[in-house]
Amino acid sequence: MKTGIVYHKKYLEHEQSPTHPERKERLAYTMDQLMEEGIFEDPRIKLLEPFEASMDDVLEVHAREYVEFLRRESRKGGFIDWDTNIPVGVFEIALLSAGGAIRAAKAVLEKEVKNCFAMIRPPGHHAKPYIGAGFCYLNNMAIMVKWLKKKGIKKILILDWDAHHGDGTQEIFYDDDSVLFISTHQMPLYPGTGFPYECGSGNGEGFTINVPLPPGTSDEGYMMVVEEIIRPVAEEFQPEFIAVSAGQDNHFTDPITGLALTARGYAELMNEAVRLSEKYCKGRLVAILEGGYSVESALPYTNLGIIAAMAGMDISCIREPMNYLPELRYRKKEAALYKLKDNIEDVKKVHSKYWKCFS
Amino acid sequence: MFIGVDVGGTNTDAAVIGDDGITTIKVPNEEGLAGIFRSIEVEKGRLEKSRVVVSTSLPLNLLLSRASEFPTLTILIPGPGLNYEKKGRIVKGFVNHRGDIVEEIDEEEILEILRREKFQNIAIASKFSVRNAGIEKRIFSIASSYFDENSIALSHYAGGMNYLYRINTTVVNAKIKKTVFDLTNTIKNFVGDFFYYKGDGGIIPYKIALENPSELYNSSPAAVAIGAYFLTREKNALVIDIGGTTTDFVIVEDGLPKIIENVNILGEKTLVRCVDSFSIPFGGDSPVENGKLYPGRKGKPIAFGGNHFTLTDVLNLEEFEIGDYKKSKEFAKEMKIDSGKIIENFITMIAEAIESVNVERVVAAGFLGKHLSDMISKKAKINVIVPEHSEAVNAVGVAVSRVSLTMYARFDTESGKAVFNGIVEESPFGVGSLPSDEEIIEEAKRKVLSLAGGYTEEDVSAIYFNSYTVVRGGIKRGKIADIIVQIRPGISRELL
Repeated sequence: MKTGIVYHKKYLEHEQSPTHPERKERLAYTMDQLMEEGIFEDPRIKLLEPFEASMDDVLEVHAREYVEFLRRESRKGGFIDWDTNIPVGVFEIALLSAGGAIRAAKAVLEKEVKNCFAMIRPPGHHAKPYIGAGFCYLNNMAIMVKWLKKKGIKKILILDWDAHHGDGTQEIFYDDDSVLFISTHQMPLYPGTGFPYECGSGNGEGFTINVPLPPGTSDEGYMMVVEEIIRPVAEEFQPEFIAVSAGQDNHFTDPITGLALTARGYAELMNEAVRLSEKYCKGRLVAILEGGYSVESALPYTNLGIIAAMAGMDISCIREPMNYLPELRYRKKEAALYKLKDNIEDVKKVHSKYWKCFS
Repeated sequence: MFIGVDVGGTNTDAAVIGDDGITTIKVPNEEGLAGIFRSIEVEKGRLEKSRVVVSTSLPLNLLLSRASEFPTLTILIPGPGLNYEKKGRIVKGFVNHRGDIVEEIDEEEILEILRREKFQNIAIASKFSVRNAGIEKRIFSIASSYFDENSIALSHYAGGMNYLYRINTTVVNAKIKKTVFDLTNTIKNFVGDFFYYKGDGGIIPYKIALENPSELYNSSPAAVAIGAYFLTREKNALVIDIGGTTTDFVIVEDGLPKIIENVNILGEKTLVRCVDSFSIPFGGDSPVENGKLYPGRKGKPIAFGGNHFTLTDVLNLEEFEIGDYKKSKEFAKEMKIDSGKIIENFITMIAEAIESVNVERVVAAGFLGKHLSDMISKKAKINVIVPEHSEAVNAVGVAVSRVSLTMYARFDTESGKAVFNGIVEESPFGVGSLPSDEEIIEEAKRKVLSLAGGYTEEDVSAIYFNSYTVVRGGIKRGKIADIIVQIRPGISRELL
């Protein structure tokens, strides 16, 4: 079966302002790379047209007052916070973005494709039920996961590996034991949440796992988190569906973060998600684009890496151009691994009472 | 005057269109191009004063039938991305999506391959060469010490994004470039400047075809479609060309042949676009042996002085009088042959092909078109039109088509570069400027017309456009625009 890519040229149109990090240019270079690599003509790929999310699906996650506010402000232009203004017309594009996530999940559930990458904008994982934040308006991931639950999927694993903590998604599923939310994120960094002790509440206690990453964490660090945390917990949780918040601001060239993941590391990470999905949930996997602001130096290679890994293509040549490597040497911190080991121990300690694999 | 020459599988047809109307000429291929040009040059200087267009599928037919005789050394410069090692020899170097050379080539690595490998032609393809052909050109200059320059194909001439398809197209070009170059020289001896006919129904100056000769693929069916429209003005029809070796079918929609993209050549998808035609392997010269019609062609029919009893000869056993029809009858005297059934079977094949597409009208062309139109009409229960000059509709189409070009352009005002089909030039807009989308489109249109050799036509359109602001350090540094402009194929304005 094929790998789906949800994409619409309208996703290129959204722009908070021409100089905002989350701007038109973000996907333009990626599209160049994908077109040149022949991704859209490849027999292993199926391009899927998104639809706008229905109001019912949006209201499963967001407060009606907020949705009405967003719709109203989007007609004339408005403001949420210093990072997130409301450009004219964003409401419809945000609906198309959330609908793109649902389109991806639908295609996987209905076996139209094996797995799917929703290459959508604007991103969503900071959006909370009652307000948008951090470049996000509607929480695409949460809207998709709620939709999956309505379709009868009982156990969903969210892997959020954006460099920023997915505080919106965490909050939405904080007391829900059917959704296991695992986030790896740089700390300290916006939004300032995502400590290991934030582990869920009520029924959801133990179903939120936060793994803070020190600045300078590289491919090795990420693989350590996979081996020490993600693999054993996934084995114990036995998800029926895996959803990845695939932010790409953890790349070593990202201008607003300090992590040091490479494009190849990114593809390996996605390979791991594919393996987990094949092991536990018949390959059912959706990746959703979140952040990622190194528009020229990272996104063309990391987005290609995601798609190549999901489609089972050869990833041995996924890398950045050689002349970016001095930047990697600068960004990658050996000491980060020591700090990460401590963080992983903290996570295991907090979660040892919830997960046998850590006890 | 407008002169069109179509070199087919069996005959070469020519059409001369002037103030006194259309004249057509047909000569057998044995007489070569010299034969046809001598027949046209009834008065001195006629060729020189005319716009001459040549359609030929010979180089590609040669390749398709004898591909293994043209092995190609393929040098690839893919840089980071997917793995292309199965497509050729990977060497160092990388042009990124911005068209910047961000990894240098290693000349010694390339020289080592060139010294070791023995091939007659070479394809050189770098990723994003349509954004900057610099690396390809450097390898070209290294390879030209080892290869005839006319046997070196560079991928940026193939135009268009999709590296894999561009590699495949470049390999085809490498294999046929020399043949097309030699053919071009032969034609130039007779006519001077001329145009080639493309598979999408447009014409291009021969110099452009020399670098991307795969564009000539399937040109005859395209010519038949344009010719049929010109002669009948039927905007929507199925055109049937009953030739010597095959019978070809092309759908005309709104006055233009239906086009397919990414045509498969030698089992690989390419960037070639051409008319969406299909064929049955039977034509007027197809042999009839032991009472059965066989596909293909062995030689000329008896009725035309040949040694093979063919479908044409069978038609002469019925009420037709094609060529020296008495000879056909004489030859068949001793044969037991159910000519009615053979013809019926052939007409049924054509009728089935017509039924497989949804059309209301058929235009019958080719050497047997006018003879078989009534039978086809009855069998397929469809209106069949036979245009004037039906036996040379292809050549008429070649004569009347206009220049058509596709240009992939990129304007990058941050770096001050403009790229036209891989050739980097200084941007017409200042460094750091933010021209409007309209200004960019106008500039691209102006450029494509100048590439077409100053030949002006009105029907230039942007078929793709995308632009965005380049921001670095929070400041707008320039604008990038990608645009594909095309002079669409069609009929020359002077003849409309």
